[in-house]
Amino acid sequence: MVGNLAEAPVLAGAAIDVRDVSHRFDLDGKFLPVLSRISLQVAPGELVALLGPSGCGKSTLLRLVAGLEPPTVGSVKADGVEITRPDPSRVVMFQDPTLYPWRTVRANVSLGLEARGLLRSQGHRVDEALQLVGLTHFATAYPHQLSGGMAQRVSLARALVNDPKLLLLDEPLGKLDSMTRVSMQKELVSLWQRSGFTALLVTHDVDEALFMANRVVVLSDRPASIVADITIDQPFPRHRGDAGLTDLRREILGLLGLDVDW
Amino acid sequence: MSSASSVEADRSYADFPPVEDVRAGFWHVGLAAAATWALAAVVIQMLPDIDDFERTDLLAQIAGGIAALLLVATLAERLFRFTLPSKLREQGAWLVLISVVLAAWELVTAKYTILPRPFFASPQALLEVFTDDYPRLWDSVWHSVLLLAEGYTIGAIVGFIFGAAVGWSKAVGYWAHPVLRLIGPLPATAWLPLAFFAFPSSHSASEFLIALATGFPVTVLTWSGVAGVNKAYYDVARTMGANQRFLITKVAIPAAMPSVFVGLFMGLGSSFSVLVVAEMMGVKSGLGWYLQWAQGWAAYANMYAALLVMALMCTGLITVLFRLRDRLLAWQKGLVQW
Amino acid sequence: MKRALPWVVPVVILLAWQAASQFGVLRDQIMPAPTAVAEAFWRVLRSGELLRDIEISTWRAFAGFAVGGGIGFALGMLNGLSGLSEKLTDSTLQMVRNIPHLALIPLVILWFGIGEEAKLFLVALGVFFPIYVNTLHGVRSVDRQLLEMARAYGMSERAIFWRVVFPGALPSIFVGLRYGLGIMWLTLIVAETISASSGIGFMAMNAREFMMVDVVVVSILIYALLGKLADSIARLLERTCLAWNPVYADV
Repeated sequence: MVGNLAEAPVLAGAAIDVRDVSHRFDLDGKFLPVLSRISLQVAPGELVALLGPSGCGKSTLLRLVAGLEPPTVGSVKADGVEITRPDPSRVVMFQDPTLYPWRTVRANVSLGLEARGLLRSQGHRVDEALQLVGLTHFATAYPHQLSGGMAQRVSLARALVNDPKLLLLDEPLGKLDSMTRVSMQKELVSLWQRSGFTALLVTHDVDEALFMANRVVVLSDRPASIVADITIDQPFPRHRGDAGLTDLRREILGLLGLDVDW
Repeated sequence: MSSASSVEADRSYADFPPVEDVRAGFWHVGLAAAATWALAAVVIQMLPDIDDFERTDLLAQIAGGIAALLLVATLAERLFRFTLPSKLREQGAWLVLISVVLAAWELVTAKYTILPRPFFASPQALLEVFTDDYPRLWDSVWHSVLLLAEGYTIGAIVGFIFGAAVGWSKAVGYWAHPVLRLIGPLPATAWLPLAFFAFPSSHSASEFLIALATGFPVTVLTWSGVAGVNKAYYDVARTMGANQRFLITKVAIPAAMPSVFVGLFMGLGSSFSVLVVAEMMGVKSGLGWYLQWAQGWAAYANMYAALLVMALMCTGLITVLFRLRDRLLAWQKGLVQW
Repeated sequence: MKRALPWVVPVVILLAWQAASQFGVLRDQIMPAPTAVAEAFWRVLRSGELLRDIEISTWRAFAGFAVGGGIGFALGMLNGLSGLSEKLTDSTLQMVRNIPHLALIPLVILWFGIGEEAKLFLVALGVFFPIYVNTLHGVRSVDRQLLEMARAYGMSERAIFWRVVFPGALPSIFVGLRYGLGIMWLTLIVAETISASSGIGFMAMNAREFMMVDVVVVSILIYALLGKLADSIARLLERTCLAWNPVYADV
């Protein structure tokens, strides 16, 4: 494990291999199919956006990769090893910051280290993570004193402190106002570029996917299957008005079944 | 509160003078209170009593003493430029009202007996109880607090552990649910007659009843608190490698604490009732017994005094619990109101 | 089968209890056997004693509840709607609230003797506070925006009360109602145990004097049953009156 987050050398991100995964929910004896024969390979260090209509099952796919649930059929591997349970090397950032209201910002960020009994030996990483998201001055604040953007940043610091090889982003910016959202998109991208982890980003915002990802995987309605897998070669930082992106945007909207001249 | 707004707040403070320069003006209400207390002292001392009351002089002295203190405090604040605690200042109107009520009470009982005599005790009769019977009264309070503390602590601990187990483990909940449903609607006092049979001493029976009265609400609210924890909190901890023990002690229990405290408050309220009744019926000590004893002598003044002490005791204990909650749950200030 | 499973534990306890009594592990003076309790139940039922006592206790309970609950409701509404009234009475009431009402029993006995008034007074006093506090809280927590909207639409004050304030406060009032029902039984048990010449509490106390533990157990069971019944009725009322409220829709 590497000590200094702020100037972390490029770590090897995890390689993800999702193979023939189908998944269903058991709702009081009735089965609801959510994922249908999904296969997806993600190379180390990629940032892949999973794009799909809301409720299509993209968050479920993320939960399977996180190891929070086992897939009904198929296998999910990280670096060639079957994923059977959650692991601190794969951290999820949820749509809600889900900070523990009874803990201060610092104690929230310490969570992962504390859970693994590493707080004593690696406590300095907490301060580094806070510095990274620019919240050093709020270390002793309680979550209810933070704005939405700040809370989401604490949640990011809480994820980063674990030195993840894979960051799973479940619509992490979905509930932020549009200005905070744009600035946090930039922050996330530059953080990802510096740290070299692999990232999966679930979103239903086409622009967000185009702005942040190397690859955009478009999913169909529930039960979700992969409709298209589009690689985006544009270098970072990207510009929203870029002509190449505008074309891609039109293409993806078409794939999602939305009127092209909308 | 965002970082931007706090910066703005810093800037806007510059427009106001520093806080120390703003001094409260002369405490008019304090002076008024001094006057009304002096008046009350005069009423008590000067008007003839209807009967021989032993503590009339003492009562008048106390009222006069309060008047003098208020006068000194009000004037000293003016002359020596020190500031009285703002808490005292805020209570000024109450100080006036209490003196007026005291004088009125004095008039309708000790001076003119407008209220029928044995049923309504005069202020000096109450005072006499405190000055003459305080060993017995104090002993009763002590025994009540002791008994309550034992029963309440047992009930709270058992209820908390049991409730957490029921809320956490599906299996425990499955078996415990019908038992709780059966015992739930039965008030703790219904066990009274049986408890005095089944337990070797009335003391242990009372302890059991108080623990039961406390334990039930604590169990139910700990249970619902633990069961109601946001499932995402567990997901977060699990993705970071937390084990079961961590999930229980560091996630489930802190998240359930606000609900647990609701149970502790409810339990405290009902344990008071059970305490009093148990003392009346079985235990030969404590405030409940004191009340029973006073009833035997038809000693109204003693009874009122005991009730007053009991009100103070209960308020005190509830306040202690409030303080404890505010300290432990500081994180939710402003989040949940009471 | 799945539904019956949770009841295995109570049944096993019951059987073990019976066996323990049968083989003399549990002495009758401490805890009579379930069969003895059943016999005692049959005995007091046949003699007519039980039904009469139930009738008297129920009457006391509901009469006291009506008086105390009615006053509590009215005062809660008044203090919720009028700031002046609240300033005048609320802090006094909050102070009195801290004395456990059962502590007044000796005083009430001196005031009223051991007649019906004493029990009515105690039950009414016990029921008063939860209903008062929750009604006040309910009125206070009615959504301000709903009130302003009603005013904007020109509803009369009377209509606002019946259409907005009362329904808005109802969930909280029901909380008070159910809490009050619990207090009602709790109070009545004690009042009847300490000072009465009839009622279930008296039956229990009387049986205790004569060491008839089985009758004591019967009276406890009757109290549990009556308590459960009152609670069920309150729940039913709650569900019918609050059908619009999502919290109560499926429970």
